[in-house]
Amino acid sequence: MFTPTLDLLLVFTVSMPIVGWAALKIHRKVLCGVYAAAGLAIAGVLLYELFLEVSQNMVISSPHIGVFSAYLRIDMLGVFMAAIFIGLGFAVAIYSIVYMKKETGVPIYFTLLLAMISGMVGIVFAGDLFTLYVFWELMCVSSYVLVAFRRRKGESIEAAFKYLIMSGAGSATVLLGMSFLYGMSGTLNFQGLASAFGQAPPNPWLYLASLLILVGFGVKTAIVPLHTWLPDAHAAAPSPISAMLSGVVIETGVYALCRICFTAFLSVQVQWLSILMVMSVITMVVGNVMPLLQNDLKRLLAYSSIAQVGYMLAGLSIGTQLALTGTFLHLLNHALMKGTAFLCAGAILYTIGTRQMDEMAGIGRKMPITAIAFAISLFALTGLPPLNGFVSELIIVTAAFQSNLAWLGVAVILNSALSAAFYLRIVRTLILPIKSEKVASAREAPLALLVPICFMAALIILIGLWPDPVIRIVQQSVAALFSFSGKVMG
Amino acid sequence: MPLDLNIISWLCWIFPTVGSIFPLALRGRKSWVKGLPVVLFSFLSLVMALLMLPNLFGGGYSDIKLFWFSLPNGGSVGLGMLVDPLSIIVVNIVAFLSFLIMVYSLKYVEGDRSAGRYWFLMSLFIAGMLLLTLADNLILFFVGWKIVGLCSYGLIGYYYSDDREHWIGGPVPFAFQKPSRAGLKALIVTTFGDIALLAGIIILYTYSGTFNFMELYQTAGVWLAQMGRSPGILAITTVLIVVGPLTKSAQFPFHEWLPEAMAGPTPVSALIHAATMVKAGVYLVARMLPVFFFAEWIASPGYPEALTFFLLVAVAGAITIVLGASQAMVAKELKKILAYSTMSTIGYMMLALGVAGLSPDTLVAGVSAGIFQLITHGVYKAGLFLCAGIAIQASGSIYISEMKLSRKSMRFTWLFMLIGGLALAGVPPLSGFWSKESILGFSWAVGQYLFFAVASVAVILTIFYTIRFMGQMFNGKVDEGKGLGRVREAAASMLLPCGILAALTVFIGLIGPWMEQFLSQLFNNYFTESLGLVVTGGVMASAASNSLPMDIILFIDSMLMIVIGAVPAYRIYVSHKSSAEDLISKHAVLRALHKFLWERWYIDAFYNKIFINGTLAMRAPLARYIEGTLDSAFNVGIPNLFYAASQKLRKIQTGILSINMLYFLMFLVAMVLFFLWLGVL
Repeated sequence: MFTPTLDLLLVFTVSMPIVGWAALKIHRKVLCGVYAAAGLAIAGVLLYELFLEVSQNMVISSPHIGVFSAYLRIDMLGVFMAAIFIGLGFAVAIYSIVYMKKETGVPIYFTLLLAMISGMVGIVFAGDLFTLYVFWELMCVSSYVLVAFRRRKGESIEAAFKYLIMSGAGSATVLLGMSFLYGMSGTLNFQGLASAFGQAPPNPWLYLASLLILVGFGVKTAIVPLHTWLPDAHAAAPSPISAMLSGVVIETGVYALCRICFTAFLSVQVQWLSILMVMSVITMVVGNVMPLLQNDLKRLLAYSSIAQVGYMLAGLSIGTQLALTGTFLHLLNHALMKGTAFLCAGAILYTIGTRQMDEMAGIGRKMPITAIAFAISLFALTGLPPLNGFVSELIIVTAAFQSNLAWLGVAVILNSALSAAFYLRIVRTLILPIKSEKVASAREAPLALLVPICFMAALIILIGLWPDPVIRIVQQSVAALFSFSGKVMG
Repeated sequence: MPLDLNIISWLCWIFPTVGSIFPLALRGRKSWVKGLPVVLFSFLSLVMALLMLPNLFGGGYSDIKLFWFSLPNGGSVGLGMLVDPLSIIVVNIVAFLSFLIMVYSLKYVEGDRSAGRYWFLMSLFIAGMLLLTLADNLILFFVGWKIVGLCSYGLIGYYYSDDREHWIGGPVPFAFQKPSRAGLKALIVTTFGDIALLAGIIILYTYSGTFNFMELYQTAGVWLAQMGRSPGILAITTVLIVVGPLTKSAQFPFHEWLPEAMAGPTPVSALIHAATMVKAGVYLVARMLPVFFFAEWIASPGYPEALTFFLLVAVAGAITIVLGASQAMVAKELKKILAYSTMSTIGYMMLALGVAGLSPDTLVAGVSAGIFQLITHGVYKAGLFLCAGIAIQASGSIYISEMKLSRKSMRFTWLFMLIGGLALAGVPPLSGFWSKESILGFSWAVGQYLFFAVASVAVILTIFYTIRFMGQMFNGKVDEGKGLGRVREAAASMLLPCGILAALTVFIGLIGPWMEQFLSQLFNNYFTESLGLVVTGGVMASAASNSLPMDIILFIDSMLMIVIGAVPAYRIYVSHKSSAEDLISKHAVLRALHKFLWERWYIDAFYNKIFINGTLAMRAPLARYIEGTLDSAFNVGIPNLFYAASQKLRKIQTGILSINMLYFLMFLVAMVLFFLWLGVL
């Protein structure tokens, strides 16, 4: 229907409840997770073929397909983003097999997970704003339900409700902004939007549309002050879902902002990016100050995601090729780092059943592998060389200095220094003397939880030591992003 | 050849490195079980060193460079072993003495519970020492240099629990020092030198773009011209580079750590603080010497600043000769006497190397005389220290006056020690005589009469303290009295190394003149052919080509000096015709002199006053004004600021959905207002 990767994911999404029902019938709950993981693995293989194709042809576009006459336009950026989503999704699926073993409704869980990943892959493959919006809603709706997955807990329901309302309002403004754009140009195609608004002097409606879209996507991206739903939702969701939400879902917002900025809003880019620049600094400061006194581990990590989004937005707001390279590399790195961190937090939660940091003092002594992987991810989040977070932050800071925005670079550096305060607090918690009974009797997490964690931690180190191959792909992605402006701006 | 020279040179230092793993792996075993692999591996490295010897005769050098890591400005640091006459000689000395001392140690540390640490550090030390000798570039050299420094620190402070029996200093009315403090002192002083050396190396690199010794020689003309453009740089670099060797070799004014380094076990003193590590400084001076010699005499236009190198080395050496020898005359501890004499003898080497560059035709003679002294001193001083170890273990006292050893019951120890002592004093025909003679003759021949006079007068002091410690240790009265046979001879495995070293001392003494000739031929070939250091218009004269009457005059002079020193020492300490105590109490001048020497020329006290008391005096105001202020600013102010910020910001996270939606609206309105303000909406 669309493209093999996306089709496959949708097929697995639809067939998941049936397979899950059958699996429950024969009392093999594990099969649900295995099926989902298999689907993601095959999707990964298909994505690799797509990657080969894209690296030859630059762009694959397939207009007017399917039920709502969707328009897909796959370039290197789309493939790169999809690889992050499917990769993290695969790790999370394997992790969830054991993590969700005690829960009811596992088939629904995996269905929603696959639906969310399909939505995200659709977003990055979309060639026009409407297609993007449809997949956006697919992602959003499934993520609302996933946050509320533990439906008997008040916390989950409250968080999901907040998330639903705020995100819904955001989607509404996006839709309104899109309709302005359509009304002015008669097209929602990125190429068409770029040529319609690229050269003409901007009119007030375009500013208004850009504003509405910024606010709408800003909710998902968690730009301060639109971030208030995030700590609740990310903390209340099951840990693998927190890893997805924090690791990749908020990054679809960054992706959408980047995409729209370099197509429809080329002519208002300067003003738009200067707003974003201010917002990015506010976002990273708030994201780094809020978790300082936080005692809830997952909430702390959720706040830190806001700060990390701030770094990415800083890269976007600089707007040069190098800065965008930093942003997208950080996107990948953040998926790895925050994914690992949340999965580790989940492993600890799974073992001792608490998210409160003062109750988990010394857990690293009992769960050394988890603790080491956790520490690696936290050091990477702090931006410590030779880990991957350092590389991308360095690129963003370098880009800031090159564009004579030294203050922005300094802000990023100071913020990552500040962030060390709470990341190191977690590390300290891991190695403190054991206080509680629960910790004293804890054991290392099961192997199925450790495998994805260790694999991702290894990638954090690997990319930190040898970032060149990844940077090359990111550079091609950024070139793909800039290709619209290249034609228009000459 | 079955083994490539390149592989041999690598294996040479890798063997002891591997050996150092065993003492750690064999935890809980007996001391000798841990030591045996170390002895074995040090033997293997001796074999490797011996395999290099044939290359000594061929001349030339071998240096196969491997890439290690690259530096930002295009340069790179290599990994490679430089095998040339200089390194072959020093490697053989190091490997040979290490092996003997390791054999000796088997018995010495027997029953020591923490012997694993001893073996580990010793083996690692040997590896580091061989590495620094064989390294073909300054960075690799520096790695070895630091390894030996750290091992030395660990071994001086080997008895770190500071039990009463391991204290040095005293006796009673005087202050004692603890081993851990001695180790720290050595570390601090040598680290000071290391940092200076590293700074010098970096400056050198910024101009030359290479760390490799051979490339430094070959491209000297180019980078010296670069350096010459900013006057003073070469002089600064020279001072920095010289400070490193001066601290490592315990030369004035950085010599104060060596006497106290004797707090370690005696084999450590023998290996590290007499035979090898303190020679590392001499080795580095000899390594860097061609560069500065080239700058001073061969390059045209010359660089007069390079003379700093030679002057510094020669003057520091000359001062240390007298400083060490004079203090050895009054010291009461056997090992301290030997330490002072080590300083003094290394001073001779430094003097020779320094004088080598003071005139254009003295390079070969100076270097060969200095290296000759290095060889002979390594052999006899190691022997002396090993005998001292036996004497101290046997008598249980570190003071020469309390040892009361019997010449008859410790016949071998006495004999070996006597040979070593006479070689030290430069009595013909032992090895020390020839090397000392070649330095004296050479400095006379090149017209450095001041240095000659200093070196020559020091012979009086040397023979005096040699007879003093020999006489006091093996007191003749003991044999006559009832104390006969109070202590027994040491085990064979401890005596054998001493015997070998003593025999070698005699042997080198017998072939002394030919060996001197051989070395000067060797270095002549090396400098002129391999390095291409030919002085235009000058003649590379050799000290051995002195005219015959000159040789005889020198010989008579030396003999005279020996007699001047020996007669009073013999009267006081051997035949007991007169008493030192009586002499000192009678003459006020002697009393003052004794006090001055006993207080180590007041240099140590001066350093203590300036550095230690100075630091202590700074402590209170520093803590109060600077640290207190910064502490409250950084460790209280900043956290409080962010604590408050965090407390305040938390209030925006109300958790109430309607307020969240209000933010949403506010953001929208604020953005609209912003665009209105921009005037675009």
